[in-house]
Amino acid sequence: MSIVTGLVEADRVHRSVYTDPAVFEQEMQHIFGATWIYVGHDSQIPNDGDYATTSVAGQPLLMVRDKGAVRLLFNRCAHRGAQVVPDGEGNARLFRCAYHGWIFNNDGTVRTIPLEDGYRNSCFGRDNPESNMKPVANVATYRGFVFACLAETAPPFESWLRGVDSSIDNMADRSPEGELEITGGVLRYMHRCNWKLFVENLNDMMHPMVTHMSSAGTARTVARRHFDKDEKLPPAMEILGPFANNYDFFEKMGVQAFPNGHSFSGGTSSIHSRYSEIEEYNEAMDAAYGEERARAIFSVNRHNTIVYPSLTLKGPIQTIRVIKPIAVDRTLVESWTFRLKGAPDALLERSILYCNLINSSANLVGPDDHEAYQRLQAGLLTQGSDWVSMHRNLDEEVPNEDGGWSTNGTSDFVFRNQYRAWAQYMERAL
Amino acid sequence: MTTPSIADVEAFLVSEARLLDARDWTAWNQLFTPDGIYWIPAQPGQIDPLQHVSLIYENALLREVRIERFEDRNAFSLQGGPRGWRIVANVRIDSADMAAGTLTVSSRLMAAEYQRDRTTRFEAFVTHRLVMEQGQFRIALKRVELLDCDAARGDISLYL
Repeated sequence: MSIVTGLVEADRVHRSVYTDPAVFEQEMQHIFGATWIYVGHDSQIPNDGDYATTSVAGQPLLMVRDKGAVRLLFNRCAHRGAQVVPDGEGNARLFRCAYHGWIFNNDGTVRTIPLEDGYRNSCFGRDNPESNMKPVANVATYRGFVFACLAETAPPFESWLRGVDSSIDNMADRSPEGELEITGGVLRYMHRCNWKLFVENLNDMMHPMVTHMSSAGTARTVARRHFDKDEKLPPAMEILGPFANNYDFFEKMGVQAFPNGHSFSGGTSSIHSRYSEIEEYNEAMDAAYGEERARAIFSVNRHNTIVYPSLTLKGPIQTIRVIKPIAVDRTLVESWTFRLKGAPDALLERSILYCNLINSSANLVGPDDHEAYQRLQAGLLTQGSDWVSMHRNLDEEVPNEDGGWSTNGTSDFVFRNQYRAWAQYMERAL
Repeated sequence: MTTPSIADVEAFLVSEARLLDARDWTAWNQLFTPDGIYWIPAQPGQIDPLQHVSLIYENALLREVRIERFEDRNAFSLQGGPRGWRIVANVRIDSADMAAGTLTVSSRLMAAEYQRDRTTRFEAFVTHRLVMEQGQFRIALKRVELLDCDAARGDISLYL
């Protein structure tokens, strides 16, 4: 019997999925090591020789542009195993290992082995592909978003992504040129919690009005003090206020969930849908797409999309948060922003402002989420109960048009759907 | 207007740090000019606060929100009352334009924040852009560049 047997039931999960280091190790192997994981955006490496280090399941990887193509290599010297390229990004024609000086081309093939003659009686050496930096078995790109699957056999990418591909489309379509460029740096926020607590929370619509009252509620109070009822609010206040919207708002936002654990909250409305119009941008969109198509793009307004298990995105505000599990109770969350190519700077500046206010480790909103995760991580160590409830709106979801299910915003269905995928991944390995 | 002495500047920076140590956020906030900014960049040497993310980039309105939240019982991440202290050192007047009544001052900051059995230490290069108003210093910009501003990090709960 596997260590994960019996941990997931239809309407609840065992607390050890969040607390047991052995379960975490299995997840790294059978989920993060076995399915599609976001590793970067191809706009990070526009030119040949451009590289950016990344990782999956704690394994250092190297994303590199070679002869126009995006390649992904295990960032490990073929010789003794040292990480070849230190963490960071840049441009290089060759990669040289710091230990014994082996030199590799951008595609990972070995170019130089010092004193190569010493390998004459072995099969090692430049003629043997064992001497190359190994490529990751499966790499797929969708609208510039690069995903990797470390396993030899990957799920068919397009059908795996189905249902949430449209969220990526909507983010990219919001560019008058239909393209995104990652820019503006990265915020790296270390969370003292299990990775799943963060992922689940992004489609948890029962928490904002409680957890974020002290920030969003206070922002509303301050805004009322300084601005008349009908006065246009500064962007920061437009961003903070809706986190304190009422239950009815989040309920009506709705959620859509799909096979493989994916989901998104919102659809035609979200906490992002009442931001002020930027006229110059609207004109650029109308010119690029025609008015009707531009309106159709803007009519899609999703809150958080979860590309399970590692990528979460916000199309209307052009940000992503990437989940990197470190340990059973440690998770790194990277927050990245995009420029909509062809759009005025005001759009990027709004995305940046959003990340400063919501995703930074020093902001007023994220730390209250983090506090909730830490209390979960602590509470789940008690013997009070072995089970974590996911009972809300049980069996009330209905099929949607895109091969998934639709239900009310505050339903726990998204969690049940995530654990259905979780159990499938974990049990497939048996 | 004569250029303030280094002792004047040091005394001001120490009194500013003492206000923060004492959690007298309101008095501290009054040190800023109306359009004054408090900034913790996310990248060493970061110049652009608008098209690059920051850990904090706050004008008067956002400081007002944060300061009110400090007193909010439902600010869950602040429960257990984070407390902190700051040491300001190596103060230097980098430039002064006394005709305009402005000066730029740099210093080094060591600070610590304690909450619920955990102490977080901070080391930072700090730049103040100061304006002289009726013989008093006002802060037009306080830029706190953490030594490890681009590292993966946990919460920063207080103003540094």
